[in-house]
Amino acid sequence: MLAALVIETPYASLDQLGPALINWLNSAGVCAMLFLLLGEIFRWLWGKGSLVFHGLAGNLGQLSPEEVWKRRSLWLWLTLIGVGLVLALLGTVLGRGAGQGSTAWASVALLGWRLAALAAILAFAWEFILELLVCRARRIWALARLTMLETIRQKALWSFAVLVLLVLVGSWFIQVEPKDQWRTYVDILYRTLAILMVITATVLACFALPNDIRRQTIHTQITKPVRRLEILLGRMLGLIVLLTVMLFIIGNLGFLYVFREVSPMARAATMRARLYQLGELHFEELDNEGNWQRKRTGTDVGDEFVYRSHIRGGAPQEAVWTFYRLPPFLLDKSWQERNKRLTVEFMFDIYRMTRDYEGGGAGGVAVVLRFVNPRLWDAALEADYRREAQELRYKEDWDEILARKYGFYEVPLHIADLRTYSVDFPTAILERLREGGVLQVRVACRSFGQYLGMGPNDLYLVVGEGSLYWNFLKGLVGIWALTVMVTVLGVCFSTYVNALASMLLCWALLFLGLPQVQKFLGELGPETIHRMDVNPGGGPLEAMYRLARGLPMATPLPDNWGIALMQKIDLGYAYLFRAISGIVPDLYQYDRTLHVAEGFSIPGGELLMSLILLVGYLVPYILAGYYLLNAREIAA
Amino acid sequence: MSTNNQVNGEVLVETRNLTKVYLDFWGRKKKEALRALNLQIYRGEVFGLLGPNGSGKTTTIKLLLGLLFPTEGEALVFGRPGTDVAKNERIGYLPEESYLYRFLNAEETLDFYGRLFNLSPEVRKKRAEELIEKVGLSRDKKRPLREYSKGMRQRIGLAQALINDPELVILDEPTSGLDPIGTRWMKDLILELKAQGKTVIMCSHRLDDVQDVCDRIAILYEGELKELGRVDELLEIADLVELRARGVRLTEELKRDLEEVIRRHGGTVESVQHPTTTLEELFLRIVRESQLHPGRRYLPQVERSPMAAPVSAGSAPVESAARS
Ligand SMILES: Nc1ncnc2c1ncn2[C@@H]1O[C@H](COP(=O)(O)OP(=O)(O)OP(=O)(O)O)[C@@H](O)[C@H]1O
Ligand SMILES: [Mg+2]
Repeated sequence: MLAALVIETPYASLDQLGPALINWLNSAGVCAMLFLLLGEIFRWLWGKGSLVFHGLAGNLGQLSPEEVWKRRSLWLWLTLIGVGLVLALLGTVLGRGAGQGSTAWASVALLGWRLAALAAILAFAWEFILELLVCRARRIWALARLTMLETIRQKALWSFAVLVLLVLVGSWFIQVEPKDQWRTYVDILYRTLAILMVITATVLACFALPNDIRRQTIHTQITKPVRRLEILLGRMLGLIVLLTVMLFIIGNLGFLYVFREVSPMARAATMRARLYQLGELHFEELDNEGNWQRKRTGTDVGDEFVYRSHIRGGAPQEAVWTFYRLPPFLLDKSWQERNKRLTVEFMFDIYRMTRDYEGGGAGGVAVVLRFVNPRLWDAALEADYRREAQELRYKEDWDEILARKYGFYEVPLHIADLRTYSVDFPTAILERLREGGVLQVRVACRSFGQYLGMGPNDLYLVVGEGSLYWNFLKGLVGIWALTVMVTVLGVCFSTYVNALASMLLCWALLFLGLPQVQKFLGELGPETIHRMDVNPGGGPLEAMYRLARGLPMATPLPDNWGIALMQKIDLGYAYLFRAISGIVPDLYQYDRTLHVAEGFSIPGGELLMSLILLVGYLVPYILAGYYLLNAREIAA
Repeated sequence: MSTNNQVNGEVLVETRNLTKVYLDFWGRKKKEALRALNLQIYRGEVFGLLGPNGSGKTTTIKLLLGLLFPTEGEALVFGRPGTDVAKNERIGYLPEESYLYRFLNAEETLDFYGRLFNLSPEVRKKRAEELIEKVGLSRDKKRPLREYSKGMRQRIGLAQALINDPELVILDEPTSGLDPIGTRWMKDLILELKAQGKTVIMCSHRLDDVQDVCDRIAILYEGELKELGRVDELLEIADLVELRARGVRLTEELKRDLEEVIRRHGGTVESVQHPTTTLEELFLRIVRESQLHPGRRYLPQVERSPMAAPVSAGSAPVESAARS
C-alpha cells in the first residue's frame, strides 16, 4: 500500500533494441558521412591528397601488404557508400514517380540508405577496426595495471572513498520516519554514490593521459611496440576496474549498514524487491451503435500533463491494460495452485470537474476494475455470470470457479488522488490462458463529474518477490554505467584537450543529460519549436524579435516573408538541436534509485538495454579519442 | 675498424630531407628545429649525434621514434616510418632524462616494460634480473624510483631500454648525470653492445664520450648538418705529425734536436706539446665557422679541404696517416 512505482518516462527495454539500432545507424551514418566529406575537403585544402583518389593511388608496391589490404578494403566501403546513396536516390525518385503504394521502391530507398550508412560507418571506423584487431590483451592489461597501481599509490582514490563514507555516515543522522527509512537511505546512498563516483571518475580519467604526457613518461611507452589504441583502452580499463571495485566495496558497506538499521516497518513497506509486470494501455469507448471503439487516448481534459490520459466518470469509457506477455511461471499449473491470488497495484490521478462529493462518495471516487480474458468473456455473458454468482455465493471459492469459467473477475472500490492501491484477483483466471487469450485489466470510473487520469505505467501486476541484495546490486549497475561513461568520456576528451577542459566538458555533457534538462531540450526539437503550448515565445530568433518589439508571448506575429524566414531559421536551429542532442547522454536510463527505494525489482532486460545504449553512446567517443590521440604529436 | 660497413652495410636508419618545424596550437611557426637532414646509419656501428644545446639532436631522435611527426621528408627506421609501431619491437630507447614512473620500483618498471613486448613471462623475468644486475641496482631494486638519484635513474632507464634485447639502441645523452666511473661504465657498455653486433645511436655534447665510443659522428648546429664522417678520419690531419715519447723531459735541447731531424726530412715543427682533447677542437671550430657563415652546411659529395687547426689525436705513441 505504501510503495509507489511511478514511471512516467519508460525505461528503454530490449524490445526497442531494433529501433534503437536503426536509430543509431542513421545518426552515426550521417555523422560518418559528414566527417568523411569534411576530411576530404580539408585534405584537398591543405594539399594532403584525397582519400578517395589516393586510396588506391600511390605506389602500392612500396607499401606493406597490410597497408595495401587496408586501402583496398577502404575503397570497397567508399564504393558501397556510393552504391547505397544512388539506390536510395533512385528508390525515392522512382517511388515518387510511381505514386502512392509503391512500397517496393520505398524499401529499395531504405535499403540503399542503410547500406550507405553502414558503409560510411565502416569507412570512417575502418582504421579503428583494423587497429582493434591487432591490439593485444597482454599490453592493454599491462597498461591497465599501471593505471591502477598509479592511482592506488598516489592515494588519490582513498581520499575520495573516505569522502563518500563521511557523507553517508553524516546523512544517517537525518531524522526519517520509520516506514520511510529504506526509501530515504537508499535514495541518499545512491545519489551520494553517483555524484562522488562521477567526480572521482572524471578527475581520474581527465588527468590520467595529460599527466602522462606532461611528465613525458608516455615517451617510454610510445617507443615500445604499444599501439595508441592500447594506451587509450588500457587507461580506460584500469580506471574502470579500479572504480568498479571501489563502487562495489562502498556499495556493499552501505547496504550492510542500511540493512541493519532499517526499522521493521520499512522492511515491510519498501525493503523488498517485488517483480512486476507492465501492460500496454489503450482506451475504449462505446460509440452510438453500441460498439466498443479502440482509441489511443481517453478524453483530453486540457491538463498540461501529457503522460496521463483521462476517462470520464459515469460514461461508457474504459482504460484497458493488456498483458500480452506474462512471466512464464504464472501459467504454470503448480504455481497457480500454490498462489491462489495475484496482486495488481495502481495509482490514478483524479481530475475533478465538479466539487460533487456525493456523486463520488466521501471516501473517494468509485472505480471498477475488471480482470478479463477476452477470449472467454463477452459482455453478453454478464447476466449468466451474475446469476451464477448469486447461486454460488455461499461457496468459499465461488470467485475462482467463475473466474475459471467465464474469464472474468470484478472489483469495485473507492480511491483517492495519486495514492497507490493494491487489489487481489484469483489466479484461476490465468489457468485458461494456456489455451489462448490474454489478460486484460479494464478500469471504469463510476463517479459522475470526475475524470480519472492514467498513464501506461500506472497499473502493473505484482508477480513475485526477487532477491533484495541482487536488486540492490542491479541498482548499483546504474551508477556503474554512469562511472564507466564519464571515465570513457574523460579519457577520450583528454586525448586532445587538457585535463581541466576535459573535466568541464564531461560535466557539461552530464548536466545536459539530466532528465530535467533533457526535457527542456526536447521541447526545442523541430516538432515542438513552433507549438504555442510548448514554446509560447517561439524559437530563439522569434523570442528575440518579440523581446525587441515588446510583444507579449501570445500575440500573433504579422504575416510577412521576414517572419516566415525567421521561423524557418528557428526550425533550422531546432534540427541542429536534435542533431546535437545525440552527443548528450540520457542519464535517466541509468538512474534506478526509484525501483530499489520503492522495493521493486529492476527488470533485467531494461538493465541490459541501458548497458547496450551505453555502448552505442560511447563507441563514437572512443573512435574520436583514438583518432585524436593518433594524430597527436606526443612530444610537441 | 674497417670502412666496409659504410660501403655495403645494411642501412638501418635513414633520414631523407628530414625537416621539423615546431608549430603552436594555431599552426604558427615557433621554431625550425631541423632542416633537411640526410643521414644513413648502418648496422653494427655506433653513431654519434653531436651539437650544442638546442641544435636538434633530441628532435631528430624523437622523429625517428614517432614521438614527433616530420614537417617534411622522411625518418625511416628499419625501412619503416617513425610512426610505425611494429618496428619498436627491435628498438631500445633511453630518453634524455629517464622519465619513468616514479611510483614503481626497479623490478616493477622492468616488468611493466617487458610486458609491452612479446616476451614469455620466464624470459621477461630472467632478463629483468640480469639487467638489474648489469646496471648495478640489485640492492635498490625494491625502492620506488622516486627515491632514486639521477645516476640511478639513468641506470634503470638504460635497463628498460635493453629489456627487449634490441637490435638498435637509441641513447639520448647516456652519460648525463653519471659520475666519471659511471661514465666509463656506460661507455664500456656501449662498446659491449657494439661487440654484440647491435647498432647504437647516441647523442651527446660530451665530446670525449663520443670520441671514445663512436665510429661515425654527425655534427648538428642550429638544425643543420655541419659535419659527417668517421671519427678517426675527421680527426686526422694529413700533414701533421704528433710524437710521443717516454723517459725524457721536454727540454729546449731536445726540442732543438727534434727540429733538426724534422728539418732534415723537409718539415717544420709547429708545436710539441701534451695532447689535448681533440674532438672539442673540431667541434668548437665548426660552431665558430657556423656562426661566421650561417648558410654553409655539410654536403656529402663535395671534397672538403684538410683541416688547418692544430689537432692532435689518438692514444698510439706515434700516429700518422695520410688523408685520402
Ligand atoms: N616542443 C617544442 N616546442 C617548441 N620548440 C621546441 C620543442 N622542443 C624543442 N624545441 C626547440 O627545438 C630546438 C632543438 O631542440 P632539441 O631538443 O632537439 O635540441 P638538442 O640538440 O637535443 O639540445 P640539448 O643538447 O640541449 O638536449 C631548440 O631550439 C628547442 O627550443
Ligand atoms: Mg637533447
